[in-house]
Amino acid sequence: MNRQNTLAAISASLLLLSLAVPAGDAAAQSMKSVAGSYTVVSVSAYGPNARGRMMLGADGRYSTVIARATLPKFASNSRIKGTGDEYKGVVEGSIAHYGTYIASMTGGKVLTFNIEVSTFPNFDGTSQKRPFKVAGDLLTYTVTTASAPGRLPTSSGNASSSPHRAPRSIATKPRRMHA
Amino acid sequence: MGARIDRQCRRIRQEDSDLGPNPRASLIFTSNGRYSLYISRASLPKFAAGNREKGTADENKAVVGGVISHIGRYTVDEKDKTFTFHVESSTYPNWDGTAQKRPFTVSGDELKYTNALLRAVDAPTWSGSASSNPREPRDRVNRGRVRAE
Repeated sequence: MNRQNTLAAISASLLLLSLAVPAGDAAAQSMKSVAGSYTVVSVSAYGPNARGRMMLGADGRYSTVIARATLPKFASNSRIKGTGDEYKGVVEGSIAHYGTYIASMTGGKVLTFNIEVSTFPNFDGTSQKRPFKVAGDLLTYTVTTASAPGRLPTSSGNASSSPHRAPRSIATKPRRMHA
Repeated sequence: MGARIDRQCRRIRQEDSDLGPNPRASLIFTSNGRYSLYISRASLPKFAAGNREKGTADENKAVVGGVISHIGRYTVDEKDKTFTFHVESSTYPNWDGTAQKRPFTVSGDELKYTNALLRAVDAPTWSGSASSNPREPRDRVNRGRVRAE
């Protein structure tokens, strides 16, 4: 009985494995289709003229940094000797993370960030799904789980209602290439 | 000038980082002159409030003191064996808009650069392994971009 179960499990594993190979190829193809270096056009949660870049590598790795137009400079000229307000200004006004990503192009397009390291450490080791669309050279994705939920706009204007589900958009634009 | 590095680095020699043992890091140079750098301590405290804007003073300090991340453009001077980060945005905002020059060497898949001046705010010397395959075309990272245009 145990042996049969084990064999069944092995068969199931083999089946999954055989299915996983072409799926992996498809994922690789879709990643190439969005791979590139993007400049932030707008991110409402980081105010007007937010700065940022998102690099999606064809090898499935990504890095993204987003910041408000300005952040407080450190009076001490040392990163490890900031004031409480300076530290707060940087943490509130920016986010950065890197890891691996998957761009799913079947059905609704979804970008999944498998975050390895983030300036919002609660994101470390999590997967963040972002529905996205591409129009011309503009990639727009929607944040469904934010690092600062109170910042999410809601249709009712009540920030406390369903703060984790309200959409927020980021628009990023690929730079022209100098080959 | 005009040369490109075009590689991704993911490991740092821990003895060369000022961010403690086993730092976590990512460094991407793209062939069109952009870069993204991120170095973090091995672990950082999670925010008890679950909200980036509601960190305690200690949580905020641990993140900003335990991370250096910046983005921008880079240039390479092959004659001087230096590259320069033209910083656009950094978690250490004093660097925004500045040029950070770094002597560097490449040996096999290892890139090493030094920062002799600012030990307190950046790793003075570190190296990483390039993940990009040298047999791939140099525009590999930009393939999606070309199509998008």
